[in-house]
Amino acid sequence: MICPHCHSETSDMRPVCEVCGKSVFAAGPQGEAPAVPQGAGPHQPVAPQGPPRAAPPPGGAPHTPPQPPYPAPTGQGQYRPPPPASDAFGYGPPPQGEGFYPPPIPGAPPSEWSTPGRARPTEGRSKNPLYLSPWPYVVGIVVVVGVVVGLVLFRGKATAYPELLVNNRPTMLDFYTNT
Amino acid sequence: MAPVVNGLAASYQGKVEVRHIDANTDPVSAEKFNLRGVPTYIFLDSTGEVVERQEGGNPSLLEQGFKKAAGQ
Repeated sequence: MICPHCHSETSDMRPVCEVCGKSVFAAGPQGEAPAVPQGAGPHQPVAPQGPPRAAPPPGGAPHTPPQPPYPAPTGQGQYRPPPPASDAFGYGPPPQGEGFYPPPIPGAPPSEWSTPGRARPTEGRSKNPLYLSPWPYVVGIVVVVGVVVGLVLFRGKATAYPELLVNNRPTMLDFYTNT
Repeated sequence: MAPVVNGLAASYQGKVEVRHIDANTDPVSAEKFNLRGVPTYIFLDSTGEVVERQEGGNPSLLEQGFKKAAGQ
């Protein structure tokens, strides 16, 4: 490496120049390398920097520390109760009143959703929904039972072939091919 | 199997009738019984219900079918 002081070539494995004997580390603004304390290693710990301190008030006035962003505690040993359920995130109560939702468009057909917050209109609707009535279930059960009974009753008749009997007597059918 | 069938038919004459069906000329009957191959022997009782079904030729089983159809 090149020494920053005498600009001669020196070993980069040594902290000082082999020619001029000065430190090979970067020099100061005057070209002088900072003095290396004896016994110190190549790495010097840096003292931790604290927060910038404000200048002391004149006249010996008492210094008031800055207020924290969170509210002060209610008392020693006490904790602030949690907000109510409607204000769990600290947003305050939900907006209410006529000014929250836009008013309905005049002349538009009525819609179930045009007046949010109100119950859905029940005019023209049956008081008893279909699923609460027993008749659909009765009909379904009757259909299923009918299908099952039909399969059971007519299954035997489907395997009878009286038209193939010879002289209405027990018959053996001999299936063959002329190949 | 023809001699065996003829012999059994003669033995059970008057009790069990024999009907020969060509599967090629009568495909409707073959379709009725879901025929899978020949020879196939299907035994019907006096009401026309199937009491026995045999596929392939087995003389001992054929006689068993005749007895079933005859109600013995």
